Amino acid sequence: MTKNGMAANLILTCPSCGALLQDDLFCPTCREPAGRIIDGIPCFTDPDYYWGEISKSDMQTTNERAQSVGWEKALRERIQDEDFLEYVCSPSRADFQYLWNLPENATVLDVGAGLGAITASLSVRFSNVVAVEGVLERARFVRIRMEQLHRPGVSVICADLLRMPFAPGQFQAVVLNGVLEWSAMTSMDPPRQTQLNFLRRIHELLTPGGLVCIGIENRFGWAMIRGAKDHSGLPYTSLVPRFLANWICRTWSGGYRATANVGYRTYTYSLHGYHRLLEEAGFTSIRSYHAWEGYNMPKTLIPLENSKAILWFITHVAGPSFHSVKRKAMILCARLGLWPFFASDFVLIADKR
Amino acid sequence: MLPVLFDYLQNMGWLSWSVLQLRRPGTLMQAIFEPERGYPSVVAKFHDFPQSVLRGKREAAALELLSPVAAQAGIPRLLLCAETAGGLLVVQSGMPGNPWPDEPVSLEESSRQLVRAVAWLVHFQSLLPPRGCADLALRELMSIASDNLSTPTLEEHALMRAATEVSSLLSKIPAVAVHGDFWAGNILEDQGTLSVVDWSCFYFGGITDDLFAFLASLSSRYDADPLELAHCFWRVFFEPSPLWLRGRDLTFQLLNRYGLSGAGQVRALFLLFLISRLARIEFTTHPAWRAFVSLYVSAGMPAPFEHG
Repeated sequence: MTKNGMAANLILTCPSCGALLQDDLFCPTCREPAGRIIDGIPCFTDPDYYWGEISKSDMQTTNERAQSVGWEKALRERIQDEDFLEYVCSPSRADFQYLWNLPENATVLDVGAGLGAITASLSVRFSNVVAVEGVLERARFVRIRMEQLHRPGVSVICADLLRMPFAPGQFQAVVLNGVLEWSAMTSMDPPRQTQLNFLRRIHELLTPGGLVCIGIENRFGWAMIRGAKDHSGLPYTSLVPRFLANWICRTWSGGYRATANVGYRTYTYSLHGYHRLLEEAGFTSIRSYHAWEGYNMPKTLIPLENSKAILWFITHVAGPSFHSVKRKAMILCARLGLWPFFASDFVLIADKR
Repeated sequence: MLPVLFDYLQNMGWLSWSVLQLRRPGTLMQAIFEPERGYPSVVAKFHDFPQSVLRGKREAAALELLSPVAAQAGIPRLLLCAETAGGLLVVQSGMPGNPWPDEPVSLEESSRQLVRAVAWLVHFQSLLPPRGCADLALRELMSIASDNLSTPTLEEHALMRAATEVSSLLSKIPAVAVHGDFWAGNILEDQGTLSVVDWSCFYFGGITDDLFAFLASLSSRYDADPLELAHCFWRVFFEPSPLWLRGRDLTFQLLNRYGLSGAGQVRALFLLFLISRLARIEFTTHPAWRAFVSLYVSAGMPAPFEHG
């Protein structure tokens, strides 16, 4: 580890020009600091920007309390919602990692680390994990959590998704869990183009043979058809054509979960759409899984390219009642090859060859 | 996929496969499918919590012990057992077939399952010679139950005393191979052939342990609360009904194979079975069995299948 709390082998570059940064985050090409170290966290974005499930003041109090009573207790003092606590604390949040064939000394990048649940799980198995979080208060929490969990191999960095300060080719895996759909928020370019550029940047960060692991919703998934809230804050917006979704959101929505969430920019896709996007970004050999309990709790991952495995899952695992109509409908859906079209959440793993 | 598993598959000459991954408490299961195969060729269980590592070790030991009879009895073969950073990996062969319905809709279906299950048990018990006597199994299970029950109730103490009192009777009964978690979900049927999976609870114990567990499972429902389930168990063993009659006949069929037939022996084996249920705190039905023990002790701990 260096004095900045980062792994010694992590190479930081200027988000603006790509030049190698000095230890104090000074960019020799731009002749100015590319970022600054705040509380031991290299920060490359506006440190005052805040977004979170709890208010900024609550997050600040949680960070203060975490130093004295421990991260988990501090969190439980502020949050009573058990589902949310499981979301933040569950060790199963990164179970998709067991589908990767990577050595323990691999370097893994967790983009959009939030409160560090996935980072924590990854760091059990991998000796080098880099957590990128765009909100400084949340990055602070992740850093405290990792220190208290004694995970010296974790580096925490505060940066925007589209301006990550890393040199190319230094990660064996990049995790984008609930991130790709939000990646177009801070750009004025068309959303799909921004998402594609973001994936191209991820592709660049990977070593040859590295992988990207994406957790994301199906635009036409069963949950959306049943009226689940889309990233716009409204139901059904993923199902309608983009221009119509844009008009609906400009008329009735705005600012859902982020002030920049105006119009319809949080594009999700069908399975075919994701495959096209990943292939255009340069990825190959894409494995697609249905995250049965949702990609945020990837306890059950069903391989979508294998209909026999889907049928086996239904007959051996799914549903408590053997004779239920639901179970029979699921079997029919699998036999007809419809499962990938209506699966609500995906985990996608794609390689850089 | 853990590199050790990836290497194993590659060394076996596999070129492509699909992985279906399931998280169970403490255990991550990967069912690995070869292309065009309707069931997983390999099932890997990665135990990453201390309690589940013990379960994994138990299953690996059981599969190793059972390997000589695995093909004849429809039991998975142990392919690999490796300690890795963060846990224990146990890899076994997958088995063909679909599990039996876990909630039989008719008495006919229950009876069919029961008869086929007992036929499999007879076959299984005949393949493996008994190991010692049932009193030894009782001592081991009592020790596990005592360790696992942090605050035993008065009724549970009474049950353990009663079980100790029948120890001499159990010393004349052989201890046979017991699956330990014998219910429809662990029994796969493929074109009339049965396979039995999940051997983490295997032990040498009572002749009727698996039959009693199966009978109880036939009577239970997913949505029942522990007390409701306890009453369901009670009806299966103590209230005459077509299922009760079938259970009684099959119990004595199993016992007769060992020259046993007395009600005292049935009661002793039933007590042994109940101790085994109390020992298994990992079972979802554990609270129901504790409630059943209360009912049973309050009723004077009779032998099952006494009426009629």
